[in-house]
Amino acid sequence: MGYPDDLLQYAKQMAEAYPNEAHQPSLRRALSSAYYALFHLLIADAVAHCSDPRFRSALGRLFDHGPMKHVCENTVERIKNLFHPTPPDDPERTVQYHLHNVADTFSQAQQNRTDADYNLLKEWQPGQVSLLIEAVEDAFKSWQTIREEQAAKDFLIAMIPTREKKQGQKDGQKQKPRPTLADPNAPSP
Amino acid sequence: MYIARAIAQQSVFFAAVSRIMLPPQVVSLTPMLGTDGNGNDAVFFRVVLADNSVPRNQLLAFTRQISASIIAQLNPNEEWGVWPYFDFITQSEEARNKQPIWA
Repeated sequence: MGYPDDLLQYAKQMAEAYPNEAHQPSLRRALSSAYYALFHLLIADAVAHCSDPRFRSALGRLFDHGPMKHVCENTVERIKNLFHPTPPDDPERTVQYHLHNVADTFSQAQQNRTDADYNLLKEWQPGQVSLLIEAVEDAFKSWQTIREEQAAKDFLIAMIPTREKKQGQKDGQKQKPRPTLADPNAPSP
Repeated sequence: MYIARAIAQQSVFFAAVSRIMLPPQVVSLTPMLGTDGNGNDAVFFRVVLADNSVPRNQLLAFTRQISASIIAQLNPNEEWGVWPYFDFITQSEEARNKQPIWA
């Protein structure tokens, strides 16, 4: 069992530590650990092709939360309409379905981790956290299903930070066409 | 300066959210506008589910259907410029959250 699995197991233990009590430290640790489990799962696979453990460790440190989430959001947006309302019905759509599951869960889990670690006004409940941990566990299963697929490898490659990608993300944030008040399709107030 | 349409036209946005059709297991859907951990405009949906209305082993799949349905009906990112986040909680846990800390 690798470190990501250990972290996920720890998250589950923390989530279930006080089943009848909203024990905030345990629930917050559970959410944070669950996110890091998925974070390290993806990084571990991304650097797995490098044979030297010291290189793997150094390469793994290059990955950053924000850019990884950015890739996840782009992935979710790109394939979100593929499954609604019909479920996947061929192998290619099945791969995309699992990829969507991983990307969407990563995005949601990262925000939950931020709230769990920094937003002390938000109170968590055991059942609520248990469901979020289950979602991460399900994303683990999705990743195991598709990790050898080209789409999954492309997803990981997109997460590798490069100077060009960093510049592109900065430009994209400035130029991304998003709806504004001046949008002619905007509904009238 | 860029302002997401959901934030610039909040009343219109909230009206659009109120028109979302959801199954009876969903007791309430509450949107809150803000920014996420990366500083991007976001909408945080609090979805309250009726207690025991969905078998526990089907709950995750059910919540995914609800999220997908909300996104399909509202299109929050493309049409409103906010990234959606979802928080599912049962009615009884939601009630516990609202109790004062000394209760």
